[in-house]
Amino acid sequence: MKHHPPGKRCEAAWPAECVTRREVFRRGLVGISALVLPQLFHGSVARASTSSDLIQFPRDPKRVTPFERLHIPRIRMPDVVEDGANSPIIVAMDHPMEPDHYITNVQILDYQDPIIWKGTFNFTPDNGEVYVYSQLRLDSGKSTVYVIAECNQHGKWVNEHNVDVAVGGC
Amino acid sequence: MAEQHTGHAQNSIPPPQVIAPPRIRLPIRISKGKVIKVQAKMRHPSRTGIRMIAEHVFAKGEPAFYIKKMEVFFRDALVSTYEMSAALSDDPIVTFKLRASEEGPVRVVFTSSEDKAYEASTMLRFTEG
Repeated sequence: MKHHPPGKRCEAAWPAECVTRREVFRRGLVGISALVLPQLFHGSVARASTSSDLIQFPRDPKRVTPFERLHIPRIRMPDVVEDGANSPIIVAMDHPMEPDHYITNVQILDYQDPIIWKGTFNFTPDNGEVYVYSQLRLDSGKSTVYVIAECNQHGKWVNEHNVDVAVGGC
Repeated sequence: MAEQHTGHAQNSIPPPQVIAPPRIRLPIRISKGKVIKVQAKMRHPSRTGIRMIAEHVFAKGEPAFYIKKMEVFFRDALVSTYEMSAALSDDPIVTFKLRASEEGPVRVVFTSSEDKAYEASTMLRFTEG
């Protein structure tokens, strides 16, 4: 890396050789934002801030391709939950569970809750199928439960389910 | 001053902290190579460590106490792990799938937030050819 006096333009033949401290800081900030912002915000903000390399959505939600259908987790839970202390959820997928191509884990999140991360289920090909039933604690009111599934070859895929909780359970 | 609520069910007394060993339930009919549904459950309270001050407003409360991890072993090999937060219900019930490739023991180990381990084991045997 070459350093040059302030106010002078970089004259290196290869731009990568000449990186200012400001540029290093800017690149670091962009990288950290790409990782942290999706964790901090929800809904449309998360969609806007996530790179397609990090979390993937169906390109056209009305026309989901067979490839996308394999990778997007299916969420089964009631739209209205009376007791937020006991909200059932089923996550299932039709993705193959072969030694070289399988779903490694499924994460359950709810950004409106005081405890955002609900749990992560790690799979191996010995599971045979992706299927998890569990019971969550959810805060009262309307919120969105996100499920992120990670394929060992094709990255992370997300699906969401809107839920209305009558009595909070947090 | 706002009325302070503690714990989970806002208008009720928290249930007693009953802890009982885990149990595993397998399907009645199991044939070789099929993917079966396995249910693991345990009586254990789940305390989030926060208390509700007002609607959607929370503060630090009693210490968190919950099941933080569930590990599934089939024929002594680790098949799955479930890392949980305190935001799961009391008495967790987890259902998952398992490929019945061979006969052998299925073992489930629950670990609490205080690092106490509770385990259960059952034998997977084929009932159909």
